[in-house]
Amino acid sequence: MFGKNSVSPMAPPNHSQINEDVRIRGTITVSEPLVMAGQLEGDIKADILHIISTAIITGDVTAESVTIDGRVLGSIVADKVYLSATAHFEGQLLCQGVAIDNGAYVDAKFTKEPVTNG
Amino acid sequence: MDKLGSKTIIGAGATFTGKIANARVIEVHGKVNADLTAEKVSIGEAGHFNGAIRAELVVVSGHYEGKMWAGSVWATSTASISGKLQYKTLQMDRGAALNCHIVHNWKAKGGNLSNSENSDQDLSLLNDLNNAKTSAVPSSPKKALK
Amino acid sequence: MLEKPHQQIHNLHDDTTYILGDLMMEGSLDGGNHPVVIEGQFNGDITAIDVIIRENGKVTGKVKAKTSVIDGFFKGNLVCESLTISATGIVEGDIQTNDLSIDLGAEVIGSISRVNSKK
Repeated sequence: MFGKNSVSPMAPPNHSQINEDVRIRGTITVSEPLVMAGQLEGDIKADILHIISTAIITGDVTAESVTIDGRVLGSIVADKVYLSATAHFEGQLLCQGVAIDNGAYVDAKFTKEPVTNG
Repeated sequence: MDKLGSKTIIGAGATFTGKIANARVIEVHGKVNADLTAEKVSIGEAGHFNGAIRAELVVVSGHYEGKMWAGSVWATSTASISGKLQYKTLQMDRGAALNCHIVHNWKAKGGNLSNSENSDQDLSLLNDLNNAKTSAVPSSPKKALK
Repeated sequence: MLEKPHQQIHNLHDDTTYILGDLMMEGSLDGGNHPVVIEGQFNGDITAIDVIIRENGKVTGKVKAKTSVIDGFFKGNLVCESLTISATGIVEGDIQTNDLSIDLGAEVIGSISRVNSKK
């Protein structure tokens, strides 16, 4: 439910939210905006995605636009990516545009290719 | 940004070794080991330039070693030049140390630099020629040619 | 930290090494204790405290610096403590840095890793 986490400022009111105490092993596919606060071992496919500071994702992230305040270990395929100061990212990045704030932990391969997304 | 927009500067403490091309105006306050063709070259008091220079105007206040072909050369009081200096006009301030082969190239009537016109000249003679421009040109380091 | 590197540009003094727009340099440059600002073309190695590649600047090769600001083009190997790639920056190659800031619009291809003593 909409729990104790701060709501993502960029997500419109009807969004899904996964709380920080939730642990998932598997795949998440969602077409509404998603605020992810929990832990995932597996892949996420989303439209507008906000991975907040408590989240840990071990797997691949595919999205149109993703804001990362938490931890992602895996590959990110997106149109727009934003890594904030608390982000921790290890893996591969394939995107059209990326912004990274001072303080982000980045250890990744960056590639650039057109994103074939419907 | 605009203050420095007009010239290339090798700052004090910097060292460059390599090749330089397309220089127009360049100021050297550090150490440069390169060959250079430019319009105006200025070697600052702390500057060290090692290499060939071809330029219209060269102002030397620091160290230069190499072969220089220049239109106008001004060696200031802190200059130290060694190697070979081919010039059209030369001004040397008192205190400048020239330990080089100095060659005066007059432009031939046709307007070409002709190397066959090389003539080694006595420094005192040079000083006389430049007397109009120079304030203090004594018979200082004469015969420093090596 | 100090003022942002972009602000430093306006405070450059004469000891900055400044490579003008149409200049081409090839070789090895050590900036000494002062910043290096590149607006022209540089192929080779640069070791400096601050390296600023302006929007028209093009650097290919190896750069080792304390802080780097890239508004222009860089291709090669970059090791620095702090890196800022602005929206006009194009960076291709391997970067090692622990403090990174990338503005939206920048193009980055290659790898960004940490400067680790642990490896």
